[in-house]
Amino acid sequence: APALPATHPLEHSWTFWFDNPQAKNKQATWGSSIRPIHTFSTVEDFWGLYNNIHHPSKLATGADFHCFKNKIEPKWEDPICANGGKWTISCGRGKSDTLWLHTLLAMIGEQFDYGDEICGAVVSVRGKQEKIAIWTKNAANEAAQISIGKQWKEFLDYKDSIGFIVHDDAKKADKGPRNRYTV
Amino acid sequence: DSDTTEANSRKKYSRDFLLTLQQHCTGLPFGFQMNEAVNAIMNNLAGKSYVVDREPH
Repeated sequence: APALPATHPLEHSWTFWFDNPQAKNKQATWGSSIRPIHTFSTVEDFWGLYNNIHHPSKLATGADFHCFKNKIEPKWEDPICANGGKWTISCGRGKSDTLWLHTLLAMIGEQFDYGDEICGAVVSVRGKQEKIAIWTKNAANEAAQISIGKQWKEFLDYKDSIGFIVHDDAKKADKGPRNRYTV
Repeated sequence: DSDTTEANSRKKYSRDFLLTLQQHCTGLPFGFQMNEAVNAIMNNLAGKSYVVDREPH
């Protein structure tokens, strides 16, 4: 029998999730249209998925595409996300493909010094812009958040300042929540 | 794999190294399940009835 090809195991297993804007319209409960796509734990399986699915510029307006560590649901209510927050970058429509890929590669390749603090990332396609966010676990851990924000900007060669919003602040804010940290 | 390091027993891969593997992985992963939700995000398979189940030998 031929030998199996060598594979490259990842530090973590990751799950792609998709929130379909068409399905959103039909369903009342927020979050009920979000579905896991596939869980992968090798470099080869990551590319097998990535090479066969739409990149953000091809997704419909309103779509959210997530890549989270396995067993962490991309929701505020998830116990691991509940005390966390998110860094967000934004760009024009059709401009996020490379930023999204480089975000994924930095996460699954464990390039962040505080990688254990990361829950996952999400790209959101909206009317006039595309946004990418990295969700983290402990918003109160300032050193970890600042490190993640600074390294993310370096990996993406992103020059504008970015803000970190605590999930709890976002829930309570009647207007837009304020950034807890900025880098 | 000179671009992977086992320091801290963490499996680290640089972006450049990961990109060298991209072109070799064109097929969907084993065990991938098509369904209605997945159909909306597939490149070439969209709209087709397609199941990625392999027959056991």
